[in-house]
Amino acid sequence: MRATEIKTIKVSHECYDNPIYLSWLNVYGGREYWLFGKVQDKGINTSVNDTFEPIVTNNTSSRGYFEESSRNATPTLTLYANLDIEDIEGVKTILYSANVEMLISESPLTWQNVRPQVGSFKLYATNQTSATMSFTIELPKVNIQGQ
Amino acid sequence: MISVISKPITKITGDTSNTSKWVGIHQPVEFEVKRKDYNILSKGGVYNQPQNDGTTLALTWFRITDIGEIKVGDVINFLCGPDEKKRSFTLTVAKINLVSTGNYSFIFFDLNNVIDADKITAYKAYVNVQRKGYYIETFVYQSIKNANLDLAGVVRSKVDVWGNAKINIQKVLSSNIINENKSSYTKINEPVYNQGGIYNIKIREVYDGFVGAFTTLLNTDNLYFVNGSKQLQDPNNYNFGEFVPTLNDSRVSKAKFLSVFDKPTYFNNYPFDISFIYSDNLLNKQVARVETINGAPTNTNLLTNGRGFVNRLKLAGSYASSVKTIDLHLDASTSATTQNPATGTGTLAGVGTIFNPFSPTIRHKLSDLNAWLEAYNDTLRPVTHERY
Repeated sequence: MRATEIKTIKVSHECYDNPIYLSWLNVYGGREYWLFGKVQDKGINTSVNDTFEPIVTNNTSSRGYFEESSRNATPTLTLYANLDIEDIEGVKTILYSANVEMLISESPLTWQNVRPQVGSFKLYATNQTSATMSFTIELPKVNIQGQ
Repeated sequence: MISVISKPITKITGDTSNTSKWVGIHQPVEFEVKRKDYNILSKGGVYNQPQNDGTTLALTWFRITDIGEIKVGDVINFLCGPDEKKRSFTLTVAKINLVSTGNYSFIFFDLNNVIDADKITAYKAYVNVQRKGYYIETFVYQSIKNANLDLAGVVRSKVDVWGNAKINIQKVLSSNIINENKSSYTKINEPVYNQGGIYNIKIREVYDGFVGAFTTLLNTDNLYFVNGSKQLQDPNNYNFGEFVPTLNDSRVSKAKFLSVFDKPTYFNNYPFDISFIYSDNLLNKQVARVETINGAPTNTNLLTNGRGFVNRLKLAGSYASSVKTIDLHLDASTSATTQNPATGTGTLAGVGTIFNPFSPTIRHKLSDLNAWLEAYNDTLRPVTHERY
C-alpha cells in the first residue's frame, strides 16, 4: 500500500566545470541539495578590527603612523545558475536556511559551513519560464594574528 | 494529584483513522496538566461542634476521596461545574475526620461560611489545598545525539486557580538541537537524530517542603519531534500530520516528503537523499522504497532501525544517461515485518544517561539561568527615586 506521495525526481547527468555542491536544511526539517557550476566569482571581504597611532619620538627612525591590531578577512563566492522557475522556488529557500553546507571532499565525506549573504533579492519576473539566479556565500573566515 | 489532560497529538487532516504525534519544535509544543487534589463525594448535614466556652459552632462537612494530608487551618479551593458554569471559592478547614477503612475523609467547615453548598455537589467538584510555592515540574527527555532519550531540560509551571497549567516545552526541545548535516550517505535509509526523533515528559508536583513522585516514563507514551516549522495556512497547525505516512488506503492526500522542491534534482554521483518521517504509525510494518523508472517499479526494503526518527532516503543511483526522471514513493505492507520488530522497547530504550553538568549544552543552560536570576534580582532591588 502506498504510504507517501509520489515524488518525481529529476536526474541530472550534466558534468559541470567548477562544481559547487551545496546542502541546506529547509524549513520543514528536510535536507536539500543543489549543484552550481560553470562559473563563480571569487572575492574576499576585508575589514580592519582596530587601529592605533604610535607616538613618534624620533622622526628619523619612525616607520609611520599606521598600526593595526587586527584585520578580518572573509572569502566569498558568488554563484550563478540559470534555472527553471520551479527550481528557483526550491533553490531560493537556501537564502533563509538555518544551516548551509558546502561539499569539500567526497572521500572522506566533508562538509563546511557557509553562509549566504543577506539582502533583498529579485528572483524572476512572473512571466518568465526560466531565470538566472545569483547570490553570494561567505566561506569560513581567515584566521589572522591579532593584538 | 496531577495528570496530563492533553498532549500535542492531532488527527491528520484527510485521514480519518490516524493521528500524528509529530510536532515542529520551533512553534508551541503544549501539554495541558490538571491538578486535582481530592474529589468531593458527598455533602453532609449540620454538625454542632462544642466549643471551650460552652457554646456550639455549626459546621458542615464534605466527604472527599483519599485520606490526604489536609490539616485543620488549611485553606481549600473548591472548584466545581462544567466550564460554562465554573465556580470557585475558598474555605478554611475547621475539623477533619479520617476514615481509615474507606479510603476517604470528612472535612468540616464553618456552616456560616459555606455559601452555595448545593452547587458544590451539583457538579463534579474537586478541591485543591492552597500550598505555598506550589508548582509542577516537567522533566523533558529527548533523543538528541542517538536513539536514547536524554534529559533535555526542566520546565516549572504554576497552576491557575482551577488547577490547570499549560506547559510549553518548545524551548527545551529546540535548544539542544544542532543543525549540521549528519548523514553518512552509505545506507538506503538512515535516522538523522538532529532532524527529528523521540521526546517524552514526566511530571511531578512540588511545594513548600514536599516533592512529589514522578509520573512514569513509558515507551508507549513516546511523542515525536521534527526540527522544522510549519507555515501559515498549512494543515494540521503546528503538527506535521501531512508529512506523517500512515497505513490508510483511503487517505485523501498521502504523506509528503520533507522537501520544498516540487521536483528535486538528483545530480548523478553526488551525495543525495530525501528526508522523510519514518512514522510511528508504521512501526511494525515492512516499508519499501519504490523507484519507478519508465513505468517499471523497483522495490527495496528499508532498514528498520530508523523507525520513529526523521530519516534520509537514498536513491539507488548510477542511472543510465537515458534516465531523466524517477518517480519515488514509499510502500508499506499491511503485514508485520519480521525484521527486528519494534515492541516499544529495544532500540527505543527508555531513559539514557542523566545529563552531564559539564557538557557544553548544559553550561549554556546555566548561563541562561544566571541571566534569568540577574533579571529576577533586579526586580527585587529597592526602587530608588530619581532626582529631577
